[in-house]
Amino acid sequence: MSDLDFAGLGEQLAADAYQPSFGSIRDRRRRRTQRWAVGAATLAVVVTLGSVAATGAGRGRGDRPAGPPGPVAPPPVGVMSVRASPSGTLYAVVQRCVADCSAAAPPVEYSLLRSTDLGTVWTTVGPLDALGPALSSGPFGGGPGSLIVVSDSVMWRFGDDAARSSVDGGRTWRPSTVGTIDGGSSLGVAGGIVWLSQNGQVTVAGGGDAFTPTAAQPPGDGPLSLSAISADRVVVERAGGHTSGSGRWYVTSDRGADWAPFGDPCAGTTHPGTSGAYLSATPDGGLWAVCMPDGAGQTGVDVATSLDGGVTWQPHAAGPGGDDLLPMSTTVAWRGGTDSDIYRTTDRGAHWIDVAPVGQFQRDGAPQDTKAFFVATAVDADTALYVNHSPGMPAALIHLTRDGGHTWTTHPVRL
Amino acid sequence: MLDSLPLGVRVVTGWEEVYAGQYRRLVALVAVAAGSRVEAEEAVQEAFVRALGLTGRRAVVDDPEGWLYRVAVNVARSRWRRLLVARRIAERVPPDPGDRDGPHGLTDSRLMLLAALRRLPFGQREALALHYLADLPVEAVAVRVGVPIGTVKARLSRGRDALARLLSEDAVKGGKRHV
Repeated sequence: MSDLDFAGLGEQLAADAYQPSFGSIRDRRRRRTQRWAVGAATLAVVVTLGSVAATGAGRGRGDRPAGPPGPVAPPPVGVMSVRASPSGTLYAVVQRCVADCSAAAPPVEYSLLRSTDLGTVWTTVGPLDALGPALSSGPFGGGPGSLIVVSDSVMWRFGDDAARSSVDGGRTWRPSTVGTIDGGSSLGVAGGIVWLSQNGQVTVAGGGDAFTPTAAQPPGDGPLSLSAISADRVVVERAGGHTSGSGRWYVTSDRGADWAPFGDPCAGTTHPGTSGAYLSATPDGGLWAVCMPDGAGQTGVDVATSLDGGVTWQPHAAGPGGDDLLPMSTTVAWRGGTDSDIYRTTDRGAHWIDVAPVGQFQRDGAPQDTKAFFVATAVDADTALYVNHSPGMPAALIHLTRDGGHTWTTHPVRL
Repeated sequence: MLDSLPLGVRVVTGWEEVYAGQYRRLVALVAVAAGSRVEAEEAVQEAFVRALGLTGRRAVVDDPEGWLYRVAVNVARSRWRRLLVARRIAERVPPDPGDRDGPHGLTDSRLMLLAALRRLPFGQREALALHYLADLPVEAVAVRVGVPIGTVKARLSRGRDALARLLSEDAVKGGKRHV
């Protein structure tokens, strides 16, 4: 990169930047505050990831089905997150402009929606508060700020430095102090238990309770990448302080009372000892590892599967596609990620088939620069859907497959 | 490289000082990540507007530059906002003869670099901007972006390869639009 003038480019862009007076920034803040004081909305953070021109104006809160479109032009809706519960119920976090929708940063409100029929009809569960600028989610709905659905009763939402939990299906939420959620944090949900690593420490929460550190901690220090396998079993990868793959991985099978070394699941892949790896468990006892390159010259994502709890692993090069993996069984998994289409394997990762071209919706600069939320449901291994929107569309689109991605049915939905 | 606030600096009320010292640097970073200096200016200004609205415990911001950067990038990436900005520019603002996002002030090599960067996926652009423009180490980029270190390394590697390829192609046959 030394031959590329990044420094000069940065300095030139900085020099050319138009900088209004700080007074004008204060004025914008003041006008917005005044608008809130008299207006209808209370939330100011506009961090829409997918903008959906759909209805919602004047609709009351509660468990009523979404009605037909009204005569008044609906305000924009942004889909923030879409998740599925273990029962297959879908949940979506959406934001709606509530006033002055043509303004540059109109006031918005957030709501939790629910669908029990794979996205055909959505009902409003209740309002949500904003959780700071980290309120965002990746293509699969993960990451800070996103909705974590433990069950149809227990849910979590995480922001920059705060969390909310609900034990009544999202109708009411209570705050939980979790400290800063950042790139060094990772979340895992298994068996109704939520695991969270922060500042190199493993914490756990059952139900909607506060997070508490486990009785013992994995050896060493440095950030932890956490993979929840079951309510009592968690595998962590400790970054920093080690130079080889051996000894970096640890496992507990008693909810953190004891930790033991765990073999590097990526040892047999082209990325042995990588610091970019995570595990996912399947209901039938399988383990999947995603092994991402972490060094110069390395490319491609590998996967490895284990049928014996992580003692032995079968590696495969995953080929094109992202590094977000949603395994359904020991043999079937979906895979996607940033800028990636959705891929599916039915042979433990040996072969991957591109089943949905959602990457086109996510690439920056693409004509349809849209967020696509992919959800693999627990209904069965062949059922999945993704939600997307393109500018100008009257509603979000639900794309549903019941046959493993061979065919998709599409229908518009008003959120 | 551009100067940076040291990590860990806490800001309670000194946003004006941060604005004076960091605005242009943030615009440069967001411009590379977002692909447009005009959108970057809007986004960074919006981030400061939001910063002034922080109250209570949230008004104490660790790493204010990082906070502003994340907000600005979120804003810039918002399609909703992009559409509104585009509509406002189209409807209310007369054409800018200087084309502030155009080649004004940029040398040919920087133009080609900026054009090539715009053709990379967002994640790679962002990683390259933070690592090479802001001079952040890989670990700090991972924290700033909120992804594992390995992902940052992969994005840097892929971004470098793609840039080299794109610039090589451009040198031979001129630029082509990334789709």
